[in-house]
Amino acid sequence: MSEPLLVCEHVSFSYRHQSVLRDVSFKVDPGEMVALVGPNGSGKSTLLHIAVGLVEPQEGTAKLFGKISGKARHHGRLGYVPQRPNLGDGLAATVQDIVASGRLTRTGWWRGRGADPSRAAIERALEAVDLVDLRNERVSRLSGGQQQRAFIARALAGEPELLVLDEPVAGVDVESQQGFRAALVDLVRERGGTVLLVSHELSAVAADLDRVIVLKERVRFDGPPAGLAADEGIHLGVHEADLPFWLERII
Amino acid sequence: MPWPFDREYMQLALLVGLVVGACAPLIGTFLVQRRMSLMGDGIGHLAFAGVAAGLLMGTSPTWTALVVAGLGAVLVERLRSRSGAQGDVALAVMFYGGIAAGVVLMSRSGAGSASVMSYLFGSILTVERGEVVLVMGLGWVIVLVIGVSQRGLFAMAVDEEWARVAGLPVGLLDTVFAVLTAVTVVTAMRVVGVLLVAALMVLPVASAQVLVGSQRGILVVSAGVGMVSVTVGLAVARWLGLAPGGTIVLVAVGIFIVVTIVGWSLSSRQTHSPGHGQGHENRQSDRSIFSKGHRV
Repeated sequence: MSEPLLVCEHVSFSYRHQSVLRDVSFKVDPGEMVALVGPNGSGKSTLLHIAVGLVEPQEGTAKLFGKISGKARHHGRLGYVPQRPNLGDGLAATVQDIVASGRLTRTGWWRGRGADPSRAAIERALEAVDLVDLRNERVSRLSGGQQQRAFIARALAGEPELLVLDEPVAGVDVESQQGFRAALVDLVRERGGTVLLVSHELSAVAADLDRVIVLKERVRFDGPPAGLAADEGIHLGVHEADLPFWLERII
Repeated sequence: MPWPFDREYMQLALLVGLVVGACAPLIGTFLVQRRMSLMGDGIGHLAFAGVAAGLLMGTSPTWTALVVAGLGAVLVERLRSRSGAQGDVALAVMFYGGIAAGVVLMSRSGAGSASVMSYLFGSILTVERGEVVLVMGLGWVIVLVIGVSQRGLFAMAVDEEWARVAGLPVGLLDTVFAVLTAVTVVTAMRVVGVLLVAALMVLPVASAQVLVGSQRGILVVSAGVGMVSVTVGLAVARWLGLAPGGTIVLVAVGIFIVVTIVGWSLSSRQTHSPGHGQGHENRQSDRSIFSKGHRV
């Protein structure tokens, strides 16, 4: 049995004396596609930030690839898609520029573009999110969905073993959601990758999920989507707009 | 060299001006992308305090300006990264604290108003050979550091959170960039003065953004626009007997206005051309930045 890529053990976190996470434990094994869901304010984003090393837990540990998160470089093994940044018109960069910067996780920031032999990874990432035709377009002129696809491609260009996504399809169009699903399925099923995503909008990938973790300060459910339907009557992909309300009912 | 660069003082001015005209937009590109366009102004005000300190102590104002501006830039960067949205307050502290300290120190140093004016508005026509060597050396440092770190700086400009997770040394790059900005401000101080130094960092970038869309394109074109602004500005200043610093900046403003108007007109023509459909729009974007990307 191979080692889990991500392990959170007994993680607790409070913000201004308000408990956000309490004794949270879960793991993500290689080859899994896992969704982390929960009502608003349930601590999902905080947990994700702890998992990738942006925030230190006040209690417990988070380990990526067997090492404490945020304390060691992962040399491209981790791909991260944060919530879509607010790009101003001042950002002069093409889609190709954004996607190519994803190779920094492999090559290091100080090397020139020519030092990276794997241009093919950039091409594959552009193809995976269907942005080849827009590669020379200025990214600040794209729609929100197209921008998000560019950021997913940036993460894919680093050829990660584990891809972590924070609200990747929030507010994006249906076409982009389908492109997003295709990219994730390709990563997991064709290339043996692993995905952990935080999202309320799971209709695009509901059928492809291996596991769902429901978080509300603590882990309330951890199992396959079918189990969530059987135990709680929540059908991912069916309960979409009202999913936070259904999750609120889980005790 | 032909007129107007037939005299030695004009040749020295052109040399210094070309170095500054090329380097200032290299830094300015990342300032604009990180929405810190006024950072150059703030550091310029601090540099003024450094100049005054140098005059008071009887040492080289350039070196004291470099030290004060460098330390101030690092301090402000620290304040900005910790205070988040309140970064503009840190800039305001620099603006007012720097200029006030400069005025007080200047009054104590007994420096004449001509000396004060030369630092406020530049004195490119009085540069000496030693200064040219210094400016060229600093210029090489700026080009070298930007060349090495541009990919990291770009990634941070796009998304600092992603850069941290990707393992980039965000704190180190922030510090290096702040020091580099201070070096550029002090280098450019002789050309256009502390009050106009930010203009030379930002205006060529604004023009380049209308002309090209890629990261590398912006760096190359903005440096080119900066050098053209300096060359034309110096020539016009000599021809009409104008202040060279202000003339250089006015030329940069003129280039931006012309480029923007041409950009609008080409963009408008493409939008109204027959057969301008969605697919056509995307293909156009490969060749011209004037086409607007469609939004879903």
